[in-house]
Amino acid sequence: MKKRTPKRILSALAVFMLLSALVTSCSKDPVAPNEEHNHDDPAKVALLFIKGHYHGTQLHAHDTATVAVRMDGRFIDPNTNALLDKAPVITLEQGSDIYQLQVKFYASDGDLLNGEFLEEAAIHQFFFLPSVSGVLNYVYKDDRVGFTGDFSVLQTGKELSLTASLRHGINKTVQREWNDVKYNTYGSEDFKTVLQLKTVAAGEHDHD
Amino acid sequence: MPLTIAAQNEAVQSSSSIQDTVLLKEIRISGRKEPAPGGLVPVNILSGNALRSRSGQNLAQVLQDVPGVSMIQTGTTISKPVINGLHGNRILVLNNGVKQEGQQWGVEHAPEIDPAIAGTISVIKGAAGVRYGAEALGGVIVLDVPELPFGKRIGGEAGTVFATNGKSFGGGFVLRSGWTNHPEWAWRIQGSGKKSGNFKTADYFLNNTGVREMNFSGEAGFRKGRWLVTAYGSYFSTELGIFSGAHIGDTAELKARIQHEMPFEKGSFSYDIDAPRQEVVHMLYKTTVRYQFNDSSQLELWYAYQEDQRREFDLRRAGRSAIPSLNLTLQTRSAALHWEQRRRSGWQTATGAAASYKANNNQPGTGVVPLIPNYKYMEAGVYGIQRMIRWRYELEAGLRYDHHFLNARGTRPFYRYVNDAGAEVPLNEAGVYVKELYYYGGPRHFHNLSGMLGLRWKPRASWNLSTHFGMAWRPPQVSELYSYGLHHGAASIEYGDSALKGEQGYKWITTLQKQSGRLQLDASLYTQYIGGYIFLQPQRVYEQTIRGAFPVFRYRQTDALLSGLDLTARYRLWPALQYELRTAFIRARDIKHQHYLPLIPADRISHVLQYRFKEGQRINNSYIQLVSAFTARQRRYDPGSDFADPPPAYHLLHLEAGTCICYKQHSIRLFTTVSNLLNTSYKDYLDRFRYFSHGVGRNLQVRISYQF
Repeated sequence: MKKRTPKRILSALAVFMLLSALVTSCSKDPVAPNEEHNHDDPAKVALLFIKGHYHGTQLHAHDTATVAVRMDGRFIDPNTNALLDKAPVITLEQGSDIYQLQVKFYASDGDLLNGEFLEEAAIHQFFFLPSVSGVLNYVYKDDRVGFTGDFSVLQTGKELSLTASLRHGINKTVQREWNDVKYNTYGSEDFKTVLQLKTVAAGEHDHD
Repeated sequence: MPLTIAAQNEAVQSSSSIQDTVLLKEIRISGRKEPAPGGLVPVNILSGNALRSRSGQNLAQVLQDVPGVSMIQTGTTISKPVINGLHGNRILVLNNGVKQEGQQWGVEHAPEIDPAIAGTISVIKGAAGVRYGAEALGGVIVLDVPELPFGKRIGGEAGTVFATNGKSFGGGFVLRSGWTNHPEWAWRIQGSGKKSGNFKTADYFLNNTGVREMNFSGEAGFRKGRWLVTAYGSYFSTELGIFSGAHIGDTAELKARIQHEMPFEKGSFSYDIDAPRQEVVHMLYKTTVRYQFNDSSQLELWYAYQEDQRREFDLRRAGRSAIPSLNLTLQTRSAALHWEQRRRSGWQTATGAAASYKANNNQPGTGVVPLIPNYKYMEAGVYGIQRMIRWRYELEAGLRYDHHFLNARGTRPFYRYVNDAGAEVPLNEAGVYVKELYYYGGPRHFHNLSGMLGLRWKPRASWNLSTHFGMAWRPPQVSELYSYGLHHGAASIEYGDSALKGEQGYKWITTLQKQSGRLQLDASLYTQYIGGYIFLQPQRVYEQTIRGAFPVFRYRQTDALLSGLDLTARYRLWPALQYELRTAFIRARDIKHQHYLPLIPADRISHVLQYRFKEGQRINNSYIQLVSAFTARQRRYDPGSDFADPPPAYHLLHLEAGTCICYKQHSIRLFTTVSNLLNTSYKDYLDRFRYFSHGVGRNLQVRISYQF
């Protein structure tokens, strides 16, 4: 029996080598990766300040100032996509006109993504936090989502920043104001940027 | 002589099994000594009532009372065991002898295993790289299934567990039998399941913290003459919610939540599990052939196949919450050959070889750029261990060589900024982004020589002193090599380094044990140097994204030194009253840059006062115990290296009682535990969700099991 020991060990070794060969002889090349891109991240967000006034419910627009933000959160020229070295300053005039802010989210292929947010309007809300209070007023025009809403100027001669934050997972059965300072405690963030604004009196032009 | 050796071994087992104290008048066992799983490395073993009294808990929770073992948590539903300050890919989990192959690279990935499959769970605290291969740097957790009951009649166990916190309920069973007409055959099947809803802290519910689990295992064996052939399989499946209050945007939001110290929206109880959530399935199949030679040696050959499926669902728009944002399938085939001989002269020899092949693939269709690439991984190793056992001392030495091969291939989109003509232009010029795919990865080879040397000295029958020096290593993980971008769960941007090398660890651990008498003692002093320790280094810069600004972390290597003491001391005050002290202290430094290492357990001290009732004819093993568990504040921490300072110290009281009603071969065991008796509000430094919430409040658990 003792003489059989090495033979059995050798047999087991042979089986192990066979198993090891079986185990490791499979392909050494990984499966080709599938191309995925982040559907959830917009590639570009455009914020349009449309100056105008209402006739009934119809907005008569005069002109539009657009701020564009690209995927890395930096400001770009909305027409050429060239990088801007700082946030553009939007000048808002006090008067009978309002400034309708329309926000547009674009995918990397240029498709508009707004529908994805609006179909879940019950859990999405934009908040706008001016750095100086009492200068601006805002009214949601789209069931408190904030993709469309009107700013009006209350005080002139002010330079201020405006934090725009889109939150999801919000419990909207609770009424929350557009400038709720606790905005970053509700749900979680989809988008955030800080705009630079300047308020002037009606007819006063920006010479910067 | 054989009697003495066997009796000593029994003492080692029971003394290490600190959770499973049974007073025995005298034991006389004849036969040969079975070596402890870790050789001369200190081992803590949980079995029998120690496991029954923790049924329904996950692996890390089951082990958390073992000195030197703690757990790193991602909220209440995800916990990973930590041994002497190391976790994840620095410790090994063995499921019936097979290295558990899951997605352990993620701190929010719990081991995909049900502790109920095990008859004993052993925690080996040394660097056991020679016996177990790569990744056994901090220690090894060995889950051994019970032996098959050849020649025995049908027997088994059924149990149930209820808990008030989370309104959880679950149950499990084991059935095992030999075959009366065919004594060479035996089998065992086991199953367990549980369901729990939202957990509650002392003051509020934690939304979306439910868990569902369903697990099975089975084994059948054929034993004839010198041959033993077994087939084993285990199936683990879980669905768990991740606390919704931890879903955060950028760093400003994180800071606001940290300042508030608790969730802004108080939760309510529900069994529902919504995104963010995880679904994990792990399967293991193993076939073993063992042959016993007549020269006290045996040869074992096994082959195993594992499949691990991990799907993680995030809060997403447009119905995409139902599509996993991470969908990984890991398949592992492994084989091992192990020969060992135990001579009557006291010499023991073990030698063997192991090989495995892994294929990890991202399943397409997630709509999210994968965190890690697809990869193939192969490893092979050979080892030899020699042990000499003498009356007063034992010596052990071993050597191992491993070779690993990684071939990864991933892709992620990059955006080139081009003008109308398609030429790349500076960012300050007019242009558009054009998406291009960038492929990364490639082959990498790692190899390593490990060694170990151990000595045990037994000056008296009840005392022994052992010292063990072990080397172990691990290659870098794909996440450490190739991470790139925003890690939502951690609110940070993480970058891997494809040039990282493997970690090399040297652990020296010395243990003093006294295993009988009024005073029993188990003290381990250790120090471990890890060269090339891989960690996430904060870059102290923020990167702007369209979701806000996030801090940047990069995987770096340094040299680390971890030292500590694990101590368990029991003193019998009266025959029925026993006091036990458990402590664990650890000090860990980045010795290259003179910093503290993050996520190192704080000092812990527990006092246990146990009263055992008089043994009756039918009612026995009755006890009641009060546990006072103190966790200090972690003060060894570099300010600014984390989002928040470590939380204050806390103290919890737990009350536990148990009894057994026995009649012939039938027994009913009852265990009742009230953890966090005073409903204390606390935060633990190792809980990654401590930024957002507190730990679990009072929890009454009742466990009943019937054995036959």
